[in-house]
Amino acid sequence: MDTLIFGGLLATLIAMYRETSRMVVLGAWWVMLIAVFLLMAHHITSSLALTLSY
Amino acid sequence: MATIESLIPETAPDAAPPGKVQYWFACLFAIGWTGVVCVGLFQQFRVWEHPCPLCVVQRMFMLLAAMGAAYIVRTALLRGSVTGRHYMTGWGLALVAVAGGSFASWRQTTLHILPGAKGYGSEVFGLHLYVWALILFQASVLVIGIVLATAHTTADRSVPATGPGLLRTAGLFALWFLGAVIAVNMVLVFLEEGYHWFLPDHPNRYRFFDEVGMLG
Repeated sequence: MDTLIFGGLLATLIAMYRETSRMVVLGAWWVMLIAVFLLMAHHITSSLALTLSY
Repeated sequence: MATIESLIPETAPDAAPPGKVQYWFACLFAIGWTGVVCVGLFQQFRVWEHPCPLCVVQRMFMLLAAMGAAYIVRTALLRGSVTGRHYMTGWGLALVAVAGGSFASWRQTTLHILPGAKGYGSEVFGLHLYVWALILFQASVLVIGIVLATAHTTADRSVPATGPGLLRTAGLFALWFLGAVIAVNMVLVFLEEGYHWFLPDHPNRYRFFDEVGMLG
């Protein structure tokens, strides 16, 4: 998954570099952001020993 | 009788030096965050450490923040002008990314905050990398706020970066540097992850080499 996300980041930057439409560039960026948040949520598997919920 | 067309110049006037500050800062922001990821890569090989899943997530947020600034740079390179909407879009993307990165680095910092906790990995100038990341993410929030607050004098529309010159050279360097570092990270994380969907919580080797039988 991490490899795919880095690949997606690179593809987004390439779209940005070429004259791709703004909607595609921004759409790709937001999709990658959501993917990174989901990856982070996957890796947060335990609570902290601080009596906090995160 | 003057019409509205005659009052508005067809081409944007040349920007005064302070007006290009945001373009230069966008270049610096993209190069800076890419450089921070490079420090992580350098540390990865200097002391032969394997980045944990949250470390990799923080790198992703750093690169997403750099891409926010790269959006401003890209607009100037393609059009020679950057409107207020483009500045706001770029800095908005960067702000969202540094907010996400702040949470990830805060989460990792608090994992090791109790007295006696050793932390993950080695230290750089007395602090672990994820603590530096938290400081830099928070500093970026502050700096983006200052950049937006000074937009009247620092964000002119005309940024003539379509032709040869220092503006174009700096912008192209920022984009290519960012692309190269993303590509290097992609290869390294693939080697660390191997043919698995996710990294282990405490990676201790490059699993790809094990899986293809290159390390015995």
